[in-house]
Amino acid sequence: MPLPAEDTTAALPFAITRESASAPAPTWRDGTYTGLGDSPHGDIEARVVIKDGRIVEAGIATCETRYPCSVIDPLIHEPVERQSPDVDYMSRATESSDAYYNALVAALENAREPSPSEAATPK
Amino acid sequence: MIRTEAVMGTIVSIEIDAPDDAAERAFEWFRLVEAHCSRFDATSELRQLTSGQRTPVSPILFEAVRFALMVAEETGGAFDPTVGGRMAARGFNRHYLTGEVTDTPASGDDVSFHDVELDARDRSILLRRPLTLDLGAVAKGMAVDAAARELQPYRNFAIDAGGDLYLSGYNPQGKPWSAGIRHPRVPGDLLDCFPISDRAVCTSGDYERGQHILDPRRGEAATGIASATVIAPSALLADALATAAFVLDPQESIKLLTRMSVEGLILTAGLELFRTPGLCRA
Repeated sequence: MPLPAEDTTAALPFAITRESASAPAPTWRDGTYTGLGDSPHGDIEARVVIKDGRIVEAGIATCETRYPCSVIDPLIHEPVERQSPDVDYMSRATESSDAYYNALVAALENAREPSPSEAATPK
Repeated sequence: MIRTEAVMGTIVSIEIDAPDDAAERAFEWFRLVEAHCSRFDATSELRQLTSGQRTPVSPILFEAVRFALMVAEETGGAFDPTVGGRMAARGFNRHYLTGEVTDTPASGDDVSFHDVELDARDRSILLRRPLTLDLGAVAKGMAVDAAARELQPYRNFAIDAGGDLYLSGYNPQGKPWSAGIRHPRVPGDLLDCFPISDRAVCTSGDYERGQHILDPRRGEAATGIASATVIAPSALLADALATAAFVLDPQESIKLLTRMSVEGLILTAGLELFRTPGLCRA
């Protein structure tokens, strides 16, 4: 049984409270989806794989930039599950580029379960 | 069970044995902090700050900026939210690949955290000069900490925000979580591995953004460090200090981390390893 929630924890060195409700969590349909992100140097296509409503894989599908994908790919292609059999978690620096993130968001948008009102509207 | 979302420019995973709504509340913090502090979103509160205009802000944005300025002060500007390496990282595909010298619109080369003024009385922020505030590291750390607070009643859980970790209690085998540090030169290899409970582990590495992290104090790329990891009670602190340790001299970093009562492991570009005394092996 969970203990009662407390206002403070050692993890948080100051008190902030939630002021407003944020957007509800998206739900995704199972499958493989892609999305494009553009940059001044060309497009990046991201791919996400959804299984049981969860992201199980995310990475670059194609790189149409003027620069080799290998420049970008090792930096941001990270499996979302545990990264090594030897450890529970891996601490690593993984800043992603704006283009990749936008591509990922676009891919997830394609995977998003339509809301009831969207589903009711004929295309 | 591991739950995953794409938020704050990265992939966030939470491993916890708890009802869905608990993890959902934790993810909500990421979305909420992002809404206030995001550089990606033109409607974020951060993007509404205008130079020369004192602006009252939310507690989240105020605390994020206040913390960033505190660390900037503490590190002598090695961490600086006005010109920090995180900004260079985010602009990766705009200038790193071309080698072009980028200049944020209307932002001078010599802006620093001294150009940001806070007033706790009315919780307002004033940017004295045109500058771009980047709270990437701080905001992510803050969201991790807030999510950890949300999940605290469940005791045992792991949060992985794109490599920024907060590991609480024990793993499903009832042991402290094992946290590896990615080797910056050998893909798939570990630099080291530690048992972790109730601590955040954050790493800055040169593989993250080539050798184009700006040293805010000099305005030049920092090239001396391959990987800097900090283990601290909060992700906010660990992330900010790992960023600072990336541009500081390693001996200076170890002193700083020791003074701040946190642990750290730093590998130089010449593959020399430095550790805080608490991580030294017998």
